[in-house]
Amino acid sequence: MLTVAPALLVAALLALTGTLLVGLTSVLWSLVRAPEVATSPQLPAADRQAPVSLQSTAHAGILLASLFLVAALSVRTVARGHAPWSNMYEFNQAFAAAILLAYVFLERRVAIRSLAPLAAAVSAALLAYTLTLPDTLKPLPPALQTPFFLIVHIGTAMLAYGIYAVAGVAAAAEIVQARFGDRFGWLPAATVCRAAAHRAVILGLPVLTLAIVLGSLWANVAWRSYWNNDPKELAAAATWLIYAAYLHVAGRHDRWGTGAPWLLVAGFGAILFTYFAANLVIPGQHSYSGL
Amino acid sequence: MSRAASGAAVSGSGRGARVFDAAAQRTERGLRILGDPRLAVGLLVLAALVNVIAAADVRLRGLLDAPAYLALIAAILLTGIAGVAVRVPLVWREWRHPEAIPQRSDVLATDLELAAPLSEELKHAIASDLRRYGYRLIEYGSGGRWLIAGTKRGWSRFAALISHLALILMVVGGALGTAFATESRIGLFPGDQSLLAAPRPGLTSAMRFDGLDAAFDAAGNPVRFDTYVTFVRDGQAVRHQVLQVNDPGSFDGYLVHAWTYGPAVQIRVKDLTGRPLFDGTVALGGPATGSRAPFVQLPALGTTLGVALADAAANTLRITAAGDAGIIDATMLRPGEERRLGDAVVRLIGFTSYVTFLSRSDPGMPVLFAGAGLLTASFVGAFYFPRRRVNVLVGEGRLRIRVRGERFDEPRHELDRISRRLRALLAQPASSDGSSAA
Ligand code: HEM
Repeated sequence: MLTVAPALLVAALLALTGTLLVGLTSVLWSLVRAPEVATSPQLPAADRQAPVSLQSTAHAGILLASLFLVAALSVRTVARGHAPWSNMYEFNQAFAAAILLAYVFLERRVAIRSLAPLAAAVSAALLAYTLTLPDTLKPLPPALQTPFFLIVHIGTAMLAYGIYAVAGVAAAAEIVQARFGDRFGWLPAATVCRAAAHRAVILGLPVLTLAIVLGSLWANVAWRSYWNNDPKELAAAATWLIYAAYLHVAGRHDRWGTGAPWLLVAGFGAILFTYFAANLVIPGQHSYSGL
Repeated sequence: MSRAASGAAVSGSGRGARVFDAAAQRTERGLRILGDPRLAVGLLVLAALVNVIAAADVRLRGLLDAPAYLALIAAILLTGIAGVAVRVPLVWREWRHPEAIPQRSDVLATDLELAAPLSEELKHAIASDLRRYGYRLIEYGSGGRWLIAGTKRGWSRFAALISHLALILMVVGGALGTAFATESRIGLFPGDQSLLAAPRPGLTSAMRFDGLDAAFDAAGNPVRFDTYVTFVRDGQAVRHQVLQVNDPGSFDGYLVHAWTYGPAVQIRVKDLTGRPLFDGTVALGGPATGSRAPFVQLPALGTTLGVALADAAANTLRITAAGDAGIIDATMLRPGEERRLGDAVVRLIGFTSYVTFLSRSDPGMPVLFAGAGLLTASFVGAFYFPRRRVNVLVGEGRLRIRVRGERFDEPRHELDRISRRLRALLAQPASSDGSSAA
């Protein structure tokens, strides 16, 4: 049964590559279509956007990739008999899937279809990295053999990371669009990015908080202390503090408000640090999940 | 006389009131400065930086215990309280006394045309409908111009503020733990019993180690680590339990983990006349064995026996006897064998295992996790159930609905739902007083 899982990963990667190619086409469209029209600040932002058909195709690629990834994770769950997050090979898939699902969820509320290629790029990078990793099938060490905590602590962490990847991407797009007066038709307007990023933050913060609290409860029973100053715990605390800081300037119409998206970019940087560095580089109690 | 006295009292109380007002204003100004969200950003980002640095380099982890970092945490809590204090009155007012919403870019609005002035009955029906839909309402105006202002889930803004108080609970819980938590390491052999903390008057909570069942895969990774214990109070067995890695026992406020385990041997030592000198279990570990070292003291002979595993696969034990003058003799033993070492005769009964338990009690933990639960719940309340504000204005032949959400929240669905409900109400047959709407 596990033999179909890599095929599903490759299929997801191909679908995301499709989304990326459509994204590139949108960029080309912006350049080729008389640039003065595409970038004219007089035109309403909506009129400068890449054609709806391109956006819909990119979106469809994401939907398809989400299906493949959810299928791959389901196959692993059934084959291994536990939630498929016990090593980097599996975490990456869950992270990549969470990014796509978060994008799909947010897209229903804010018009961010033209962000699809960027979300796809982050997700595809994770999947490409996954395919270079060994698919080790070690049994779970005793400390991880708690189905409730395994599913909910790691599941919520992955979900929060996925949501914040979308927030980070939207914030980066906002910074660019705000700097250049919404001139890039292949990206949503700055105000749209800002609304999407904020929605993502408030969607993700309870999830991230729950992930940390549950991790702490788990550590209390498995590691005899709810807080061990382990690198991953500290990095997660830093991430959480950055998003808490963001809440206090989001929506302000002054310099502090303008700086808010930078905090979201930093927040995503902190997530990558928590995710990669605290697992692979810095030794700590979370390191046994390793590669 | 009485007039003068009362005049003095009036001017005295006037001065008192002025002093009080001035103090109140100063306090409010101070709270506003302390509770400024921009200060929050600075403090929180600084705290985040310290955590990242401590995560990146183990040598800098001491930063987290530095007084400056503790002061930073205290500043976050205190300024957070100030931020909450200055906002509570406004948030309360907006919840309990909804008012007109000024037209701004983030306010969504729609108009319904009215064919005739609204009857009182219809106004009443609109208000009741919005109330049923969850809005707390206040009506303003009368006659031709009429406004009802409503707030739904006004508590949601309080939830946002309560998140700051939840942090205080968490820090207080952590501090209580630092001050009052206890942790005891208890090394036990099968059948042994121990109190769950250092002896003190009145403490009778204890545990007995009944046995260990561990299993390993081919690569030597542990796959099961079941420790059988019995909890005892006042000398009476109260509960048997199997402790596992993620499943410590909880008894009388103590959390008991099976922490480390290792091999041990049961040996019996006699002198040359057959008099017993030692009959017990010796752990073959290093520091993990807690207070038990792999030595057996035999004061009657002035000898110490050193015990070490020579060959694990062949279950062979090396025993060395030493006295004041140095090593006396050494021998190898397998289970069931007996040898003479100097003036002692040593018998290896067999191999067993010991477990080191950790028994912890932390009175701050319930407070800390209550705070963490409150924090999570307050975020869920604040973010997943956002406050909505509505205005229904009637005048100039139309009914205008305005809806306002929170930051970046365009409550288009809410506006659609409300206008659908009100349109349905207005479309109902005209009442007997002849008023109607289209
Ligand atoms: C880890 C610490 C903190 C957390 C988790 C936190 C959380 C929050 C949350 C969730 C909100 C509501 C955001 C929203 O309106 O959607 C908020 C608002 C607020 N916080 Fe904090 N906060 C923290 C620290 C602080 C500090 C240190 C201060 C004081 C300087 C502060 C002052 C405020 C104020 C004044 C608001 C209202 C902001 C506004 O209305 O725009 N907070 N905080």
